[in-house]
Amino acid sequence: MAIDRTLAKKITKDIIISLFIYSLPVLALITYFHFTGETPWLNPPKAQSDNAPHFLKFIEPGIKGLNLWGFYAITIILGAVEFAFGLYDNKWKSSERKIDIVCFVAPKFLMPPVSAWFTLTVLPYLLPHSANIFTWVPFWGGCFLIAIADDLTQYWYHRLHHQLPLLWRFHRTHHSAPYMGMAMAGRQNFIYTVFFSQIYLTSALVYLGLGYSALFVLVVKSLITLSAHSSIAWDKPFYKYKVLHPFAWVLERLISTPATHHAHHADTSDDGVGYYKGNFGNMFFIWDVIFKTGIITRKFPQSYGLKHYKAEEWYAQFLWPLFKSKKEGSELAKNGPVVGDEVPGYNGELKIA
Amino acid sequence: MITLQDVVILAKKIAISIAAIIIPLVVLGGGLYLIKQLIH
Repeated sequence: MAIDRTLAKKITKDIIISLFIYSLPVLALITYFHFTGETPWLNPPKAQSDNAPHFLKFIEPGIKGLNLWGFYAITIILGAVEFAFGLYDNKWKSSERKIDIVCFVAPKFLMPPVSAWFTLTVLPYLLPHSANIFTWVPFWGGCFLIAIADDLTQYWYHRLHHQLPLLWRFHRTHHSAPYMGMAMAGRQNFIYTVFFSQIYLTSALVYLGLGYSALFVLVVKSLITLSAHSSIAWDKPFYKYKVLHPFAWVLERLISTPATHHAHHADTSDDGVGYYKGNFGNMFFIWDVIFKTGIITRKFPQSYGLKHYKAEEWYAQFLWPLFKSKKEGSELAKNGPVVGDEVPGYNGELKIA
Repeated sequence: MITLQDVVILAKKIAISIAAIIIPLVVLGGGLYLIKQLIH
């Protein structure tokens, strides 16, 4: 299935703009060093953390704990709260539960060997003598760099899985849940997860010496993306109280909120609230603002998931195309359609509430 | 059962993933390397 020529042009144009955005942290560092006269690369620290602000040392154990096990605990606790308050609308059926649990547990065992092999074998082979060559980058510069590198790359990875029909079925599992919440936050086809570009990009930047910045940025990113998937709509007070509207205006353009991300998981775009054809941002929503791929309505969709969902088997959802669905007419079946209803692609301009 | 068509799709997907790693890495890594070379 070929993609529309207008869409192809739009993608090309946005990739060129992205190259400029990727270069912004470098331009900021050049400006900083030009005006301060600092030349930290002449006497680089052994680790980036050596030159980081001291107050970070106090919160470092907490941040490391969150990265190691804290987010698993948060996901389980928040998920239990959502379930207890009936926020899954009785749609968390046993077939869906199986998919969510497999997608949550299996990558915890399958991904570490892949990450370790990439970090310990592939990177030293591809970038010899380059370990820790950028430890001189200031903490703030590293954070700016990692935030843009990691999140803009994930934006593109995500957007292309919606806009290129050949990629859609790898991402479909994340959209097949008819509910929002912690249960489905990690629901992904494993092939989608294992080829997540930003994981390897950020690993490479850590290998080059930006590990301390990455540690902090990834915690903030995880908090934002988890809370955007939650069925606890923490952003509603920002829309309800007039005094908070200026904060809401900034917030909803800067980061993914439950409202904008729930819209992305809606099962229709026809009601003016749901927008599965856009709102691709993960940590930052600003990419959707810049590339005009988002809508902001401050409303929540009536229903989630896919109109053409056939409740496919857990193994097909987790491991397609290695395992196929037996459900007739399913996108995940042997001779199923590439895209069930229409191509979930770009088709709109940014709308403001 | 995986088909030839699946293999082609997988290959294209992997190629896109690799491009999405290399392009920003070249811009950012190359940029940081240039800072070192250009500013004295």
